[in-house]
Amino acid sequence: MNETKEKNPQKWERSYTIVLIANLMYIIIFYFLMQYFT
Amino acid sequence: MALLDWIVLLSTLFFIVAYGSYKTKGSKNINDFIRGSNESKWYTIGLSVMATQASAITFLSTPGQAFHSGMGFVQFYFGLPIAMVIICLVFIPLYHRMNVYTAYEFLEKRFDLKTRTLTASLFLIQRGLAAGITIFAPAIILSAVLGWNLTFLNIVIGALVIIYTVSGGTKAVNVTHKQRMAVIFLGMFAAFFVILYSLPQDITFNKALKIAGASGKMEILDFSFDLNNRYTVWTGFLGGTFLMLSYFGTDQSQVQRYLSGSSVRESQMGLIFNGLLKVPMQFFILLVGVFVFVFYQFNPSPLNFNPAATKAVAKFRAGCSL
Repeated sequence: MNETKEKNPQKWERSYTIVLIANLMYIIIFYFLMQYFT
Repeated sequence: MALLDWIVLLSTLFFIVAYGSYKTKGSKNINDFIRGSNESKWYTIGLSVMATQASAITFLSTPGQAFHSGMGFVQFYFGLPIAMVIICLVFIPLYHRMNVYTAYEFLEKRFDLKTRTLTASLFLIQRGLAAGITIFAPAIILSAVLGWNLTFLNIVIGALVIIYTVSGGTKAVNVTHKQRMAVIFLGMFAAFFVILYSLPQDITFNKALKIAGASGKMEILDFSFDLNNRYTVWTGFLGGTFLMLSYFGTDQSQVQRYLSGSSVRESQMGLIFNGLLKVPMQFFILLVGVFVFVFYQFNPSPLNFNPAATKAVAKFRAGCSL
C-alpha cells in the first residue's frame, strides 16, 4: 500500500458529492420519464 | 445452435479461462492469491465489483421482473451510492489500516477468534448456497439451448470457474471480470436492439414506451408509504442502503475485490465508479424486460418460455395419448 499519498483516507472527497448528486439526478430523470410515459 | 453460435460460445469461454490463467500464473504467496498482489487499479476494482454482483441471475430475473411488474425495481438501488460513500469513508480505511485479508479477520482483531469463525462460517454457507444458484441459472439456459443434461452442465460450468479461480486467485477473478462485463454489456445492448428492431415498423422507441406506460410498466418511482409495497423510493433509500452496506462492506466476495487495490484511493474510486454506474445499468436491464413486454403485445407469447419445458410437456402429452 502506498501510505505516503494517503494521509487521511477518511476525508470527504469531491467524488462522494458527485456520486450522491448523480443519484439524485437519476431520480429526477426517472420522475420526468414516468410523468411523460404514463 | 448454428456454427457461429458455437464459435462465439466456445471461444469466449476458452479465452476467459485461458487469459485469466495466463495473466495470473506465478501467484507465489497468500498476498498474491487473496489480495491480487495489491496491484488492481480503480477501473479493474469497479468492474470487478459490478461483475461480482451481476450474475447470470441478474440478466435472467431482472428483465423478468420488469416484464411482470415494471420498472419499479430500480428504486431498490437508490441506497447503493450512499452505501458506497459510507464504505469508502469507514470500511476501506479500517480494513487497510488493520492490513487484513478478509472482513472476518478484522472481526478477530476487533473481538475474538470465535466471532471470526462464526461470521466466516456464515459467509461460507451463504456463499456456497448462492454460488449453487448462480451456476444453476446459466446452466438452465444452456440446457435449453443445447438440449444437454442440466446436472452435466452444472458440473462443466462449476469446473471451469474452479480452474481459473483456484489457479489464479483474486487477480484471475479481477482480470476475467473485465471480459465478463464486456460480454455482459455487449449481450445486453444486442438483446435490446434485437427487440427494438423486432417491433412492428410503426412502433418507435417513444411509442413502445407509451405502450409500456399505458400498461403500468413505467411506474418507476413510488413515493407512497404503503408498507405492503416492497419497492418504494423510501425502501430503496433506507433498506437499500443497509442491504448494500452489509453486502459490499462485509461479504468477502466483495471485500476481496477492493482489498486488492493498489492504494486506498484506488479502492475507494473503484466503489465510487460502481455507485455511479449501477443505477443506470439496472435501469437499462429493466428496460430490456419492458421492451420484451411490448414485443409480446404484437406477437403471440409462448405458454412456457423455456423450450426444454415445452418439449417435456409435449413428450408427456404424446405419452398420454398412446
